[in-house]
Amino acid sequence: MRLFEEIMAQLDADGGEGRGALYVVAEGRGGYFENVKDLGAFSSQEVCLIVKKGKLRVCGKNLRVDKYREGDVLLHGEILSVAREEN
Amino acid sequence: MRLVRFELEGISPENAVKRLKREKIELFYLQKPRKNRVSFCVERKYRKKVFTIFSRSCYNILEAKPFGLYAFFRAVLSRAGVFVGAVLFLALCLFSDCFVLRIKVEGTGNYYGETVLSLLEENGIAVGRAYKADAAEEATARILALPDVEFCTLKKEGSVLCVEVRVSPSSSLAAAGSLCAPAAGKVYSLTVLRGNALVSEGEEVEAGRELVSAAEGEKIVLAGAQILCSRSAQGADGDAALSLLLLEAERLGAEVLSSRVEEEGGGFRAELEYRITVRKNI
Repeated sequence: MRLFEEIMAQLDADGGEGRGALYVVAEGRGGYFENVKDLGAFSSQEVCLIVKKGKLRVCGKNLRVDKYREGDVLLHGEILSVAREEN
Repeated sequence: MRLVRFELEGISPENAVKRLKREKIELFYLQKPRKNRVSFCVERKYRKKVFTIFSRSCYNILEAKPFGLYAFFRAVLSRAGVFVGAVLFLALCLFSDCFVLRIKVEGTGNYYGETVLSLLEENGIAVGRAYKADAAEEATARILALPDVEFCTLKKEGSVLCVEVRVSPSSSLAAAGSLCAPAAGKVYSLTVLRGNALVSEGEEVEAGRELVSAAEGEKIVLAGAQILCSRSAQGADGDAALSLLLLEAERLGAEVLSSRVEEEGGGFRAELEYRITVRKNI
């Protein structure tokens, strides 16, 4: 996603896959996650995304995975929290 | 992008998702409506592949009904004839509604019918022509200018133009005098819009009997009545006797209700029942 590239450029960091998960959350609408290795347990209240350095536990309401391909996940719904869990 | 939706059921359906990911199949609208069930969409080109992946597994998979714009267009295309027909019908209805296919002149001034039609035509409103609101207003003004017309309205009901024309009850064209019974019989119904009723329904009346008279200080009666008549005639020929009765009924403009011919004392007896409708200024 171009947005991530620009953000990473601002942060003076590399936005490649080797750098762990990247995500952006749009309040009340959903979020976009990059560099997702796998999809764990999921329901309409919680989605577990497996990333390089652990897991991302996304909690919310009416969650739905609108797109899941090549490490990109588009989550639709109201995201209330994104918590990182170490392996 | 054409998508097909699947529903997959089994223990730990997340593993099925992992399997699809391993096969590099992109997933869309992934949901978990129940603990052991997931629904998802894949591109149409992966349809067979998905079935192959889960053909010998512990998952039950089925293809759900198509959805979205593609499904809508597919439904429309599969019923193209019906869709085109419906669109044509609607278009025809809208098109015909813009036209006048019939003109009705109603109200107490309906005797102006021919005049009204010619006035409408002069203003461009006629059967088979498009209806114009401006022309209707102009025509209304001209109809209102006719003698004794006190109310006029043009109303378009679909393709029928209804012109209601009402004249003043005290119009010079209204006939003065009472409403009288044209023949002897029983009063079947009585409607009085203006005037005093002198008889009641079910009452026997003689021919010429005054049924409704003008109210005090007025000359005009607006009323109508129906008289039920029973007549009989005897003769050597039953049909001839009945014909005489029918002639009388026809002369009075009556509606024949029943007829009977019976043998009686070496001859025949014919009976006829009919109803006469009389109106005064309505």
